[in-house]
Amino acid sequence: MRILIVEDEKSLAGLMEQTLKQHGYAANVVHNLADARAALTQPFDAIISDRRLPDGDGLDLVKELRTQGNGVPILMLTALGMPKDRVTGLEAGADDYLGKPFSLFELIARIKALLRRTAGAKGLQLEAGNVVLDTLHDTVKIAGKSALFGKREVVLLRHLLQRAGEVVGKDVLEQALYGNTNKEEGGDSRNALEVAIHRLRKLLETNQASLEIITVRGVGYMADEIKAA
Amino acid sequence: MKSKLLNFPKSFLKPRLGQPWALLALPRGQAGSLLGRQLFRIGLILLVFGVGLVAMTGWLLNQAGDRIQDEFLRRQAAELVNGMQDIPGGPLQMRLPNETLNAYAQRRDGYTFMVENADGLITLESAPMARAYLAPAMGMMAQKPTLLNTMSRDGSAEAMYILTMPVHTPRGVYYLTVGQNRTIDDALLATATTETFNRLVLWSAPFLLLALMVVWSVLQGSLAPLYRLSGKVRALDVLGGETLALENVPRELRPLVESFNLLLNQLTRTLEAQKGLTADTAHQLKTPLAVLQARLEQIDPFKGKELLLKDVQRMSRLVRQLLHYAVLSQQTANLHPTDLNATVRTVVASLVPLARKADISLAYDGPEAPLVVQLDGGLLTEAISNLIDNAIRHSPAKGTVDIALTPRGEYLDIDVKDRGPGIPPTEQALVFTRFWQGPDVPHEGHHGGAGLGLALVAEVMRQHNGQASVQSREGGGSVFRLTLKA
Repeated sequence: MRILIVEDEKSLAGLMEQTLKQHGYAANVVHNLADARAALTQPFDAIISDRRLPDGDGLDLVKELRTQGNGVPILMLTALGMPKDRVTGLEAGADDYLGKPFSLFELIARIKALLRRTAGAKGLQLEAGNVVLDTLHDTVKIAGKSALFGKREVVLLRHLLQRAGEVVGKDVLEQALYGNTNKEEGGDSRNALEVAIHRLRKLLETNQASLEIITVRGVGYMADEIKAA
Repeated sequence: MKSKLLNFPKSFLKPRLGQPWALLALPRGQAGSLLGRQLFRIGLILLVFGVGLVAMTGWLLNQAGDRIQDEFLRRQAAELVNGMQDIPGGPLQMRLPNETLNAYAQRRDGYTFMVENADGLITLESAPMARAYLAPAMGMMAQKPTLLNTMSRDGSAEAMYILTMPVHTPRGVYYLTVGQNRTIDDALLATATTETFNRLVLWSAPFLLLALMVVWSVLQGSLAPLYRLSGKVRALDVLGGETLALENVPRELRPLVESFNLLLNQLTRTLEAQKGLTADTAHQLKTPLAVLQARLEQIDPFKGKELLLKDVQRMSRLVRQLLHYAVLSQQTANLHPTDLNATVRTVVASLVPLARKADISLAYDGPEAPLVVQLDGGLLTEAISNLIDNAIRHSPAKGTVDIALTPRGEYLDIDVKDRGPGIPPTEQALVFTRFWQGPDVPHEGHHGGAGLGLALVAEVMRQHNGQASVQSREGGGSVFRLTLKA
């Protein structure tokens, strides 16, 4: 996995590079837009870019890439942390937005999540805790051992793992399970979702997965690793 | 408008001793109404002119009366001079119809005459004692009608017009003196002039009032461009850098509009500079803080590392809040139809990871259907995030922060309920003010904010014409409520 870091603050760029390497990623650092454009003649799996760069706005790079049809996941870093700036960033085509100052752990988590999302789409493996989901064959391995999961549970797990550590809305999961639910069936499908989640939890539990499904009442569900106490 | 116009300050009408011109000035510190002041001044000028005009007319009427009297006297004198016949050898005679002579003799119209010769001897008189009336005129040679005081027959004082004319005869020069008792024709004339004068005064009052009304409407019309201008100023988007257009602005108002635009430009430039400064500060402060945090995280564990990390995080929070508050207080909310239900739900979802780190659960209780309201999604997200963030940091471990969206009549309530230590009722009114810090909490650094988070919430609500409030929660903790108009 190769990641391009576009950041003019050299010490911060260096620290990010170091951390990414510690987590098993290859990283290249550039300090301005011109160098970034030059580096992007080669393929990268993700880009981390600052917004305020000596020769322009990092968002312009995002727009360029998107108009070229380049869908590489991009995480914007910025000192302009207003909600409005976040919206402009995401609208320009960035995949995520991290305000400065940030924790390196947060950065790694966001990069992982970004790569996971694109991996899911590409038909690769989704991983969280000791749970591995092969999205190509829809098979689940827990702690290295194959586990038998029903079709619905796999669909749920895929959606939750793609955004592990984030809340996935009930409506998204319902749609994933049943397609477009109409209003009259609303009550039924909601019950059905709860039943499916319950079954998924049971399966994870009996297979001793280090992954739990958290209910956020009124919002949705979140898959999160169980940290060893 | 009208009532304001007539509403002069009472002291305004009270002439101040020693400085009557002060009537034209307003009491100190009061600007009054431009229209009222102008109307008052023009009214005063009209009054002065009116009174002057009336007085002049009165004087002219009086003069006219005098001239009429003079003319009568002159004609009388001419008639008498024509009647004088100097027959050689005989005495000087007055040849006039008997009736006329009788009238003179009886002073029927108040006329009296006498004729003196060059030596001052009276040779003719209208009645035996006429000389007694005309005595003061003797030797005066009044060649123009002149008013004199004479003695009447009963001895009382009497005003009389006198005219003396020289009459040249072959025998020598005679002097004819005619007098008229003033009271008789004068009374008649006076009655006529006084009546005319009174009528003039009477008519000029409504005329003055009418003139004032015309002046008022003209003034009102001349102020209309000013009203239009103030309307345009009110509609101006100053933050958007708009200035006033100079088209259709009367020449007299141009300097004002130009000065105003100059001021606006300066203001816009200052605002821009400040915005730039804020953004620069953000970049300048946040990047080194990010470096500091990253470096700390990279170092192998050592004693006190966690505390240092917490300090850095606290500092980051302060900087972020300060900047958000600074940026927020100089921008205006961009309201457009937004699903409030989805907005709140998204905020809750985004804060679940943070809550989990603190071992806190979040729960949202909202309606099923979307709730579309005019709002600025970004700003409201910021406000709700601040409230939930506060609630998380004040809740005990394993606690739950309950968030609810409830339609209540024409209002919508967003409640954020925690089970924290709560806020004493005496402090509740203060929490939304800038730099308010909660009561001291034992573990320092756990939640210390800049005291700007809630001020920011209040500012966002102010821009939404909404309200932020806090109450104690039954069973302990606080309920923060944002109220929006549905």
